[in-house]
Amino acid sequence: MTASTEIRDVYFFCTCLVDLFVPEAGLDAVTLLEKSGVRVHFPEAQTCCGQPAYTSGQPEEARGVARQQLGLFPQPWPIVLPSGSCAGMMRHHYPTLFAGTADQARAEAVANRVWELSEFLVDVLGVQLADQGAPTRVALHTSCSARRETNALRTTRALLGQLEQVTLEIQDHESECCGFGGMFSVRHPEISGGIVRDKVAAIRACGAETLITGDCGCMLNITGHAAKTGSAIPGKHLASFLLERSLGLSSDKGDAK
Amino acid sequence: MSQPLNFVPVAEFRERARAVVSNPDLQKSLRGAMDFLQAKRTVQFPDDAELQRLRDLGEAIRQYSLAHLPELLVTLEAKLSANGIHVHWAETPEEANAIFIDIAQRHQARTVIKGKSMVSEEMELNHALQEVSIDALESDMGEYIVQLADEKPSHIIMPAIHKTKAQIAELFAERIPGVHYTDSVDELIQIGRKVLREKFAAADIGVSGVNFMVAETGTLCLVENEGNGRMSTTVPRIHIAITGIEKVVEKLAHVPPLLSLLTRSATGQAVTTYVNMISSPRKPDELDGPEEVHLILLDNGRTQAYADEQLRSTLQCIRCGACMNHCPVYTRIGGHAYGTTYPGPIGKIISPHLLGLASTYELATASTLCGACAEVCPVRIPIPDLLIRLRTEAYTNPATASQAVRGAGSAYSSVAMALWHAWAATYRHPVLYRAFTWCASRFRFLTPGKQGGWTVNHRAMQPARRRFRDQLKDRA
Amino acid sequence: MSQMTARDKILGRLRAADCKPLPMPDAAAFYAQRLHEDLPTRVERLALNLSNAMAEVHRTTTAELPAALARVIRDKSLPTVAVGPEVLARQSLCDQLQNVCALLPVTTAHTETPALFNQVDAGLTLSHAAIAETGTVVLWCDAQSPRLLSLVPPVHIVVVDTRRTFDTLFALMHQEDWCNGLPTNVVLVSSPSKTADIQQTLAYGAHGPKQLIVMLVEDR
Repeated sequence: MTASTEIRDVYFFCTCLVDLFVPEAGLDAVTLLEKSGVRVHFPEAQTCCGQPAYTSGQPEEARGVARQQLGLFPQPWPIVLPSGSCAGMMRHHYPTLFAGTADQARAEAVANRVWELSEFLVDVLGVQLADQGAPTRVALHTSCSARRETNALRTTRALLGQLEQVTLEIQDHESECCGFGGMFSVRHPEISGGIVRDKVAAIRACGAETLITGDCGCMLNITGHAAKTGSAIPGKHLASFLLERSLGLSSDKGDAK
Repeated sequence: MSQPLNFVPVAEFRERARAVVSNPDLQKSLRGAMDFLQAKRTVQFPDDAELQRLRDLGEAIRQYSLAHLPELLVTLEAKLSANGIHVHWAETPEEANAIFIDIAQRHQARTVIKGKSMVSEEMELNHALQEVSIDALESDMGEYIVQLADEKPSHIIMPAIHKTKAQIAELFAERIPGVHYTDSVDELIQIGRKVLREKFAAADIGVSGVNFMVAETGTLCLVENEGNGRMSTTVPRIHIAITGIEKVVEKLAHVPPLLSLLTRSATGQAVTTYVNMISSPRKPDELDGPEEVHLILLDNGRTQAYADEQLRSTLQCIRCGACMNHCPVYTRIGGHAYGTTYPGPIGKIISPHLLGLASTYELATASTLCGACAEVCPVRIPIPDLLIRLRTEAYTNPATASQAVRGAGSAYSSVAMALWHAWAATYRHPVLYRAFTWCASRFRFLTPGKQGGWTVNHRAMQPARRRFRDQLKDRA
Repeated sequence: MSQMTARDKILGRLRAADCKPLPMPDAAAFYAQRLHEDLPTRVERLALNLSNAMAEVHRTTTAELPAALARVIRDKSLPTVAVGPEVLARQSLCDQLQNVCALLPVTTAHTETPALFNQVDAGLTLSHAAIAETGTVVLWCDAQSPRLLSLVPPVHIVVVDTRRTFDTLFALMHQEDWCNGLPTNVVLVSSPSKTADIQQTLAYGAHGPKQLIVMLVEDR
């Protein structure tokens, strides 16, 4: 793979889901960035963007957690996240969450430097991938935050489009939510279950061998439902898939989902 | 007859939702209907740049109208009065019903024929009229079907969207005297037409909603396809229009862009069959039209939404229904599960003002916040942000709750609050967070197999053997 | 008194919110960016949009209108056609139509309603203007033009002077200064009456006319 830019530094915000549940996605994202000529800095004190509390109507608690993250990025480097959902939280909702507080300016400064991984790879690094893998068919699920709060739909498709042996299958109702919605999936299992049931059926029907997504929440929702209800759908974070295809490297052994 | 459906105990909402989600026939017809409406809307907006400019304008017009709402209502009232239309104000549905019944009784009215009016549903007008022995018959085909079945509309534009042709065929054969079973849609519509024709000719009062009220000319604009709206506002001697206080615009020039957004977003039509603009009762030399026209302006909690700068945007709504047509939740549970007059995303954000948060906060939580609603909203109501705000109002400590929404704090629980405090305390302190995640990972074998709502639909989640941060260190 | 109270309370609460005034939205600027077509193009667009919406469009000239109308009425077998003062004022037109049908004059308030509901096969009206963008006929209902004629009979025949075809509703309102006053009722008609309330299946003739016949009169 090649990237058209000089070496630069980025902060990596791994997200709490990746840290505890899908570490391979984070590792592969870091490798991808490094192979693209980027020095990756991981602030050890990071925890969670605060979104679970924010969307649950607990802005005080969300602010408390989010404030902890605001101080992690002293250098003016880009902040890259392997998640459209958390990137959307930091980019779009931090300014609202901190509006009128002493941290407003800091929150805005952080928000302005936030990149979803695929956006950064395409729009900043101009990454060019060479496909090393055998022909395969994949489905892409783009999370609603990635779709509506970042440019990740365009950049993810651009990256997959660079892989010559990879055919992107468009599942029925591709743009519809998978029904995750964070706490929603726990709080309203009857409705969430109805939505993810249809999403899983559409992905199974489209002929894809693997589900690719840039968001681990959606991945755990879709693959977790598939595993519970019949034939499993192999799910891979975009970073793992790209790394495996372009360099034959991946930390994803497919065992965590 | 019809039961008021406007109070939803939390458990009942879940039960209704579950019943619909697990009914394959209903799932199929809901999906089909939503796909149909989505596709029709898409065809109407081939040029995204034009759509965005039009949305900019629509949003600006609605925001302007709200910013100037009190003066516009005063102007509107003066203009309508000068045109000969009587204006009435009601704070509550009860007041609005009393005003209506007073007019009806003054004219010894026995029968009322109704064009489509969601505000009259808010008021439970039919029920109130029944209690004083006045017959109210719905004339919009969808509303007529729903009334015949003793049900409520399940969609604000397509009231009978939950019913299949076969169900309607059976309903007609069963409930309309002298009708034989037919499942030809044309024949069914002609049956409805014939029944309702007679009622139009005999009705004492015609009722309608209003899509836009124009302050500068004193004009009521009504949008429809069937002609029943024109019938209801033309044939009976008295026309009573009912609407919410937020439906006013200042200039006639504000109508074309809103009209275009409304019909294209709602049913994917460049324009509806009829756009009916009423500016006065019948004048002395005119040959038809009602002799009296009344307008009832209903508040019913709208002033509560208005008082708060953020919640005010709820009132930008022009009732197109595009938000429900694109909502993954509405697509799964249909309109009746909500139990409120307005279902779908708009229902979730307007109902707390109409009914209080105590009985409606569960609706605000029943959203993935996917944003499909806001993406299609023709006047750019930030529905997901409003849902988050309403959740915040619901879960806040009632002792310190703001007065912005009636019923604020009604979802507060000290146990839940303690859990959030504990979560935040852990995630606010990197050392605690690392200790917690280290334990979760190290003792992953202790992860419970049942994880509340999650394992209803999913295999249990289990932490990784080693956290990302540990593996990153290993690698270095 | 109680109504006054409700009014005062509602207005009081709205005023208490103390909204900041906003600048007047500029609808004219939006429509200025839109396509402006010459009259022949507008008329073609009008005809196309009406046809696509299942209206039946006939194109004729002022001189040929009576014959064209007579032909339509004969071909459709419409024995009784209701007309209002605006049509009755056109004596020669009425004379010709009476050769093919009975004209029911609607000239007194409400007395004709039962006949209109039960015996009439079509209503014939003139129109005020037309709108190309949406394929719309504008009815200006006043003393000369009763409202029920275009609504109650199963067929509505409307005569459109195509010189009065506007690009958009906005253009029409703007050029004619509608904001200075409107008649009792203005109706924009863009298709026969229809509904899709039964399983999204389109059916015509829901409550209004099942057929809309538009006579486009153009004198080149």
